[in-house]
Amino acid sequence: MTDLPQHPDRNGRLVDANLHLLDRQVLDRDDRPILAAGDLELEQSDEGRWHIVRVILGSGLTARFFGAHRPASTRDTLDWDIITDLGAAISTDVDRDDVDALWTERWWRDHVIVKIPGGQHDPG
Amino acid sequence: MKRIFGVALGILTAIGGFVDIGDLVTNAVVGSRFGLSLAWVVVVGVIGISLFAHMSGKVTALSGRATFDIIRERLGPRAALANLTGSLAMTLLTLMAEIGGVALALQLLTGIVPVVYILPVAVLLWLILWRVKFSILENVAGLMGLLLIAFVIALFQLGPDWGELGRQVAQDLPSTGENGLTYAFYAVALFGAAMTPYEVFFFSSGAAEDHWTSRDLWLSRVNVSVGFPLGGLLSIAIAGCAAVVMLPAGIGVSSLSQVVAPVGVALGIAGLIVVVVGVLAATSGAAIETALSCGYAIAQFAGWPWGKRLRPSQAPQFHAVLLGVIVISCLVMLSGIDPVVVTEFSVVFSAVALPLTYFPILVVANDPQYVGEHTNGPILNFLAMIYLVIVMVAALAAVPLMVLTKMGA
Repeated sequence: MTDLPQHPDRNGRLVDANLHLLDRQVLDRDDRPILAAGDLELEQSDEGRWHIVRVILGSGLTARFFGAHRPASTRDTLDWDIITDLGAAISTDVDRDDVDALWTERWWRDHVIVKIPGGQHDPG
Repeated sequence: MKRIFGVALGILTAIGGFVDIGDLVTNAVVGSRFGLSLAWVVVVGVIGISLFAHMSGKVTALSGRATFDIIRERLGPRAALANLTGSLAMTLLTLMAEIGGVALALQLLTGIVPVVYILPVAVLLWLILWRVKFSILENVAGLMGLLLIAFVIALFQLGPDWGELGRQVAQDLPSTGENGLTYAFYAVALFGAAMTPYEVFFFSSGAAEDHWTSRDLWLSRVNVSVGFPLGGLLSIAIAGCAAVVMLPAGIGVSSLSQVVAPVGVALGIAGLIVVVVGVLAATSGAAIETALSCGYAIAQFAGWPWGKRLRPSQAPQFHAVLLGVIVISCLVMLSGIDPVVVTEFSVVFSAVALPLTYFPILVVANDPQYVGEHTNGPILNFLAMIYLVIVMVAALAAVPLMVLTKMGA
């Protein structure tokens, strides 16, 4: 990683959201891919400091292409406090089977792929 | 012993896997019109693909992140989506050309019109991708392509005037009435055929499929630095055969039968059968690689699970993409469009898509967060920077040259 200065207040690591966070692959607790991190949701605390509260999954490009934004209530997000590590990918402490955002994948699995003979066999 | 076998296998598959329908057609066309005067482009292209394929394999082996994952991470969603659209269009076009190439090779063997073969070939291709293990796919496809060595044997058998071929290599523009613009157009096309983006998608994703770690890096280095140059030699032999048989006769190559004809002249019917089976193998292998590359690129961009190492039910969208690209390619080729024409378009547009693929790989190969202590050395970076410039020039020149020369006509 490009060496950034230490966080001035606390003994933490300073991370450039653009360089080290956005568009990285999000992994579940068994290192299985979830989706890419598209954006961050910030909230301001009472002292006026900004905190990251959620990571938004997916790019939202389809909505933006039509000149719109997805309403906050329909965004696919993961809470910031389940993130365990920031490396070449973003590690989390969640099971991908519990992530609602993956309903499209489950749809393809249940309605197309497992219906084709051999869809549940190990490769080879 | 097992180790030596592994190294040999890697080199052989790299040689056999290097040549696809784009290399076959473009090299033969160029050989028949310009002799060996464009052989230097193959050399430049081979060095370039070796550098960047190794870099992309290294990044994947050390970080677990494959090429399109990195492209998105470095370029952001919008530029990466533009790149995805371009690369995917090119890879899909290449897949169509490979399926057409398989059908043409079957036509040469049986005499039955190629369009009959498109549907069975597409179904078989899907079945193979659905059921066959990655290591078998990778090795069988590469090894069978080795039959194309018939081109090298044929070139020697033809007993050419080596001095004349040497003069062609050294001269820049042959005196056959071709102009400089067409020469430049075919230089870009050959470069695009040698450095097709799908090869780095496949190489880096293959590193993940094969569970590479830092211990396998030396193997990757041997594979690309020995296998790809020998594959490039096959390309030059294809051009050489056309230069010896077609150029003096004034025949421009415009079909697959003309690509293999010099081998028939040199080695007779048996040689011809071997080389056509080699073409069949090389195009089938490349069809497998291009179809998988479409799946890899989309899945890695979106962050879906991907790969042949998973069950289809564990990577459902990846397999849906594979099925989708095969159906689309099959439908397009069933229209009866000439695979050779599709090939010519695919190599030129490949050149356009190159910079956005190679730039992020170079950046990340220098980032310790991804590759730890194995960042590029200064010499590798220097060479890679030169290649970025070459790739940019080729990309910018491709479409204007295509328009100005009317596809090299």
